Amino acid sequence: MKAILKMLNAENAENQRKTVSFGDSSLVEAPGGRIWTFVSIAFLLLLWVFSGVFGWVEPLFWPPIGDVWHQLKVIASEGYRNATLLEHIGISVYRVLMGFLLGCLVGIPLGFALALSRIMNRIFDPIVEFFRPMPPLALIPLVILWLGIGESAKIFLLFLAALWIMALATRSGALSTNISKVYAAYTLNANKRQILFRIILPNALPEIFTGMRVSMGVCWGTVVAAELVAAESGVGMMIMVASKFLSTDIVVLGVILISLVAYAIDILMRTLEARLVPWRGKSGH
Amino acid sequence: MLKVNDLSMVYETPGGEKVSALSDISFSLDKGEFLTVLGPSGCGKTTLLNIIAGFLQPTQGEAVFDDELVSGPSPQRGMVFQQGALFEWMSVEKNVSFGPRMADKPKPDAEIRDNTQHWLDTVGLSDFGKKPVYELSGGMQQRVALARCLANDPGLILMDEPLGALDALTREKMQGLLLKLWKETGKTVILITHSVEEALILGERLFVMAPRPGRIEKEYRLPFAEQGVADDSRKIKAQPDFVQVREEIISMIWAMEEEIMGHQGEKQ
Repeated sequence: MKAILKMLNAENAENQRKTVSFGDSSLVEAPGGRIWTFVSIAFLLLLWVFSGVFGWVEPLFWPPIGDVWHQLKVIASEGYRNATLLEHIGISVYRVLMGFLLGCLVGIPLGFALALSRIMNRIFDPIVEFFRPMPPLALIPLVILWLGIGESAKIFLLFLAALWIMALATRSGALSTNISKVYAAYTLNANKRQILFRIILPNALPEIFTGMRVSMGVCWGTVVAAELVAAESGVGMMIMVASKFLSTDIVVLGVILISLVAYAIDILMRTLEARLVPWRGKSGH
Repeated sequence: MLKVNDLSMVYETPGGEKVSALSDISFSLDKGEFLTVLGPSGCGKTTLLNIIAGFLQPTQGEAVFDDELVSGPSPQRGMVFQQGALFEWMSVEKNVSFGPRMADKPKPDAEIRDNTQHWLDTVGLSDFGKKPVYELSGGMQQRVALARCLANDPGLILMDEPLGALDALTREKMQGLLLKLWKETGKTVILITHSVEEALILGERLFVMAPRPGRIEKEYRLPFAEQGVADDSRKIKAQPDFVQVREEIISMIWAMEEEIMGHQGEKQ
């Protein structure tokens, strides 16, 4: 038993010599103790299994794990509502990526304009500040009126969701450029274009990445909602239709799939971030 | 040669109050001279440096470097900042070669590479070219900043408390490096500092500036920089003549700071 506890608390030598542990964040973030993660996941899964076996919860409210697994196999092989499972996931991912990319394409230059030109700032700042707090879902009725219920309507909605976040993240990143760096670059022959692309842009990249991760999350939330309202395919539509037929197992399956895909994308972006902006948080030594 | 003629700088505060950051500053600096500038906070020394660099336009007067009126930043007038001015998204060698690479007509790559390596060797960072700058210690980062400035071959080097963030031992070592670089390159240097010892050991000429309005209170011509090139700087700092000037300047600055405190007391 003691050996197991020791293994559970496996830590490096220096940390073991520390006398103060409560309040020391480096101890919380130190490597080791991964096993607790597996314990927690295993506990949740077991809870789910037992609740099904012993009938703790009505399946209508929360289906047994076996039912969800069964639905996964059925939908994976037979599809659901005229589309395969991969098509449902694929179309949702496609919408998110398109909206997100368009949002970046417009939002990042907009953010730089806001940060670099006073006139641009005065023109666009009220617009950005007005639309930023507006939940994209509130615009669904308008967007349906303008663009119908096709792909373009959903992508436009996601574009709006990403746009303001990207503009503000980029602006804040660009504004955080230490003036000494800009001055130094000017004395080192750089012209305005070089200052923008070699100094201000890389300086803003860490915050742009944070904005990308946030807007990706918001886009996922928005795509599901948009598909709930009107769609012929997508994971959100799966959930929506299944709920009408009281197939809670499919609803839960859809929810889990959305989380997994979103989680995978976030891991991908964090990996990219570590690769592309290794200087993150290292400035101002 | 640098000429500063009747330079004045008046700021207006949002409340409409006029603050005279600099008042009628005039001096000239010959090629190859090392000038240090001391003074209590608020005496306008950084303003003066920023005007000479071309980052600020004075309200009156002018700065002329090598017969050219200063009207904006120029590669002819290089700058070394206290910290945070390195580009942490570039390696050490990319930082150092930045100036030559940004030139309108860049030299061939091989030449830029040799030049970069030469300056890295000179500041003692021969093997650090490929490192990201954020992995370096504070002292090494300032060596990179020096090499980056020198690699662009400016006629005048402006330094705004370049050693201010370093620990005492590293700082003394870096003072030796500054003297060595100055002697080897023959560059004209203006260095602002809060450390009286540093100003004395580095400057052939030294301005003590005073606040309200910002002005040059006293000028010294000093032998210590010349000695420091050859001799051990610790020894010089213990010399009686060094100690005497040091104490004189310290009491002068203390008196100014007392007066500033007094002013603030009146306002409250």
